[in-house]
Amino acid sequence: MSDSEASDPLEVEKPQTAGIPLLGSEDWWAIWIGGALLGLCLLAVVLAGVSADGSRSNPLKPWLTKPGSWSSNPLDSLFVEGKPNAIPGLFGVLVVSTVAFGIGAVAMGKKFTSFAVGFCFVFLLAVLAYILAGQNVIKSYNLEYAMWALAMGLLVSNTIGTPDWVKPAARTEFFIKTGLVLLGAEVLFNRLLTLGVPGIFVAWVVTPIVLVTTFWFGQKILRIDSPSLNMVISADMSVCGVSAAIATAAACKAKKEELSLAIGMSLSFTVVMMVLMPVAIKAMGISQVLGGAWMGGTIDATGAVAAAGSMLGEEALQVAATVKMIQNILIGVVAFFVAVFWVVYIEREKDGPKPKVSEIWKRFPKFILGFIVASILFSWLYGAVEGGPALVDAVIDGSTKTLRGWFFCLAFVSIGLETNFKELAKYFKGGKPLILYVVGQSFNLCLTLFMAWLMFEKVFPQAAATLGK
Amino acid sequence: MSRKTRIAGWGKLSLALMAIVILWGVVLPRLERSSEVQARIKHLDKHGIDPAAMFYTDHEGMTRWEANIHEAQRRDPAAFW
Repeated sequence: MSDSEASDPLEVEKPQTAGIPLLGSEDWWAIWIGGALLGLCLLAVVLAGVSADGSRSNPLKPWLTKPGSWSSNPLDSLFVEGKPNAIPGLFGVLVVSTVAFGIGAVAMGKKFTSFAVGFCFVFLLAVLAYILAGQNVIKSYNLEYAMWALAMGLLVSNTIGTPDWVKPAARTEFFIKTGLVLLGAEVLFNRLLTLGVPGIFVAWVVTPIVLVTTFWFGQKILRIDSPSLNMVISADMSVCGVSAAIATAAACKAKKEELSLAIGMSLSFTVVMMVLMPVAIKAMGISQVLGGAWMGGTIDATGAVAAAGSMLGEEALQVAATVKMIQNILIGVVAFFVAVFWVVYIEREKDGPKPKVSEIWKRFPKFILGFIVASILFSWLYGAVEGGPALVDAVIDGSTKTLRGWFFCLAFVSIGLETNFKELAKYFKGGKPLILYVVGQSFNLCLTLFMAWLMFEKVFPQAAATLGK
Repeated sequence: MSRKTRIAGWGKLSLALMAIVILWGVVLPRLERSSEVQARIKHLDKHGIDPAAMFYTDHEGMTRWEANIHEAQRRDPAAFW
């Protein structure tokens, strides 16, 4: 693999339809494919109707699934006792993904058959990654599928080399952008006020401050060569781990290796924080509500937050998971502002004039619009339509959440297939990414603890008391 | 890619796959049998926690936790605003 191939940014490829309005880029295709999948899943749930108790079911659920957890026999992840086996569901995902991305591949000038053949191999590696991630010990310590998907791809590319017939199907950017459009449906703004003012301050005031300060520290003090690496690590650490890293990496067109590095560091620190923070909180005699808010605002990964919160107790679990949920919703806003900031300031020529609106629009990563529109539409459905929560939950739980997971998994396999170990090493230059993470996370820990203490112990002590009842 | 490099590549891949089989097939299942790990897994299952969740929607228990917080808000709305 050449250097240039190894450091391709998460940027658009010029498709055959370049120049045709609303079809002219991979970003637009991600929007149309993501939008079509959301529309089809919504339609399936609506057509299935409402049951007598007001709940809704998703008829697509058995046809879209992923391997489950297992203990000593990996086949248990596919054949769960007392449940239908996962094979039809895996086959369903394979068919849907091949057709959806195959259409996009044809638009990008590839042959459908060559894409489909390679895609089956990428999909097989993604299945293996999910199976490795599903082992109970691995799963219980938050070692997410992203890590194993990356490892599967790296294993192939750094031993026998990625076969030429697989390369047309390793479409990292396309998978990520389409997955993000689907993720938009899960970013429900109605949930923003779940914890009232304290929740907003802990999750929506502290987080942007930490993000901006860490990025500034990386640029001005550490002088990290790549602003996109700096931004992905800052967002990953301050917002919510892997999902935030994926969204910001796509928004600031980070290189694949930068995304891999940020996620690797985040997952490593998450395991440590998930184990140590509950112990430290107990030792410091901090209340469950305050401890939960602190962990919810600082531990990167959503799963690890809940696991750590539950080690303190039920109240801590609920507060930690809810703070993290509010932070999750911040992803859309962060991705949008990072995309604008990149186009307006970072990509601008030094001492050059401020770009015109038309130039900003031209360079703006359009898939972000799909992400935001999906978020607004599903937030509206959830809040303003009668029976909206049941409808939205059925769409997300039964289908789009599963597809989103698969698309990100396929993206990480693709990153691995296109990455050389040696390329990864150079990003550790001088240990700066590690210093950035440690300094940023230390600041995050201090500021979040202060804000959570201020909100739950000084300004709204009654809120903490009510939550504790 | 020369024949020698190709053979070396397949050798490395075979070794890595063997390591995966040993780790996932022997070491991790044995580790899982320890009382500490068993207790952790049961605890997570009981609370509906997906420790590998990437987003809040991945947790089975999220609806219940959120409902409990809403219930607290209903009991004393002024406490949160």
